[in-house]
Amino acid sequence: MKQEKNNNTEDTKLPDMLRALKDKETFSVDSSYFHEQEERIRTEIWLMNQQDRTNLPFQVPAGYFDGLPNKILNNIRSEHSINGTITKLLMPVYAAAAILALLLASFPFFSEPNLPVTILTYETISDDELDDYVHHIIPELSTESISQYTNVSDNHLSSSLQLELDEETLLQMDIDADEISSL
Amino acid sequence: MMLTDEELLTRFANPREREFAFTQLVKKYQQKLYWHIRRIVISHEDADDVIQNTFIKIWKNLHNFKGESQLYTWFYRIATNESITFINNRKKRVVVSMDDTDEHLINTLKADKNFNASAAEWKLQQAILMLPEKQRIVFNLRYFDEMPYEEMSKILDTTEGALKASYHHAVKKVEDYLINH
Repeated sequence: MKQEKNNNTEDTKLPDMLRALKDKETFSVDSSYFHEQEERIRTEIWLMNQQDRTNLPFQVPAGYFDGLPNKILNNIRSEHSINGTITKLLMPVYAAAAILALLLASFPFFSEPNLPVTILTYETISDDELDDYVHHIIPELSTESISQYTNVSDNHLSSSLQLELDEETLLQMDIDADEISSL
Repeated sequence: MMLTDEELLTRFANPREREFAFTQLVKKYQQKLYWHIRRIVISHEDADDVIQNTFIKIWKNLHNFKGESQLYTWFYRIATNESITFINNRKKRVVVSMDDTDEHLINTLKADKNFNASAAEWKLQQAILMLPEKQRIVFNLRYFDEMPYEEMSKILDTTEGALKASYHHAVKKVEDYLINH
């Protein structure tokens, strides 16, 4: 809040530089400062008056207020030290509880080990397993269905399949002669 | 010279000066808070318990004080709540009905060796103890402490209008009691 200034005629006689500086606000306070200050002073006065008031007919034992601050402070200190002691005593319990919780949380990993993964290779897979797999991913199609899709008659289809299975092709597929003959 | 609340709060924030600042705060506000509590709980022993709990609570929570109200308003609020909690806990332990609560407080007052009243003062205290709890607090704050309604409103979290009405009713009841007894 700005301090109000008197428009003194003396100001006009001041050198320019000094006049300019005079208008500068070097100090300032919050806008609510004076209002708060007034309230604060009123409260302090009210408190002082209250202190002087007698509270008859109620009385307190002699010297009660002289000893009260220390009594309260001692209570706070003892509460602090009790809390500190309890915390110290409980430390091992907390640590044990943490370890126990960790063990319990890891228990499922030990009791239910991961199932072994069976890797099926063309070397280990049986014919039945391979059939099941192929039928699972490729729906079983009848020759009629295939011919319907391909517009090729049953005879042509079987001959074309026959064609693909000629000896030379099979040889290129690195299948041995015994297997070819058995086909 | 007594330090201002702001200075004491700044010092309280410094761990090395915390106890000093707190002791100063206790010295500054103990009497005000004590008498406020005493008028609610009546006996010195109970007031002593409640004021210690109040200041322990202040110690624990002072770092959270944001300065949105004046410090003493905040202290009064804690003291009032602690006193009401104390009375309610005692109600649960000792007595059942409201009439019994009044009776219990009057008996406490009779038995209190730190209460030395003339006939008129004794009658006034009895009349005050007949008031409902909240009304009794309003009456005490206004009649004995002459607290402005604006402050009371912050402490009791009630509108000024409601407090004025409450005080007016309380005065009427106390007056009636004094005339008829």
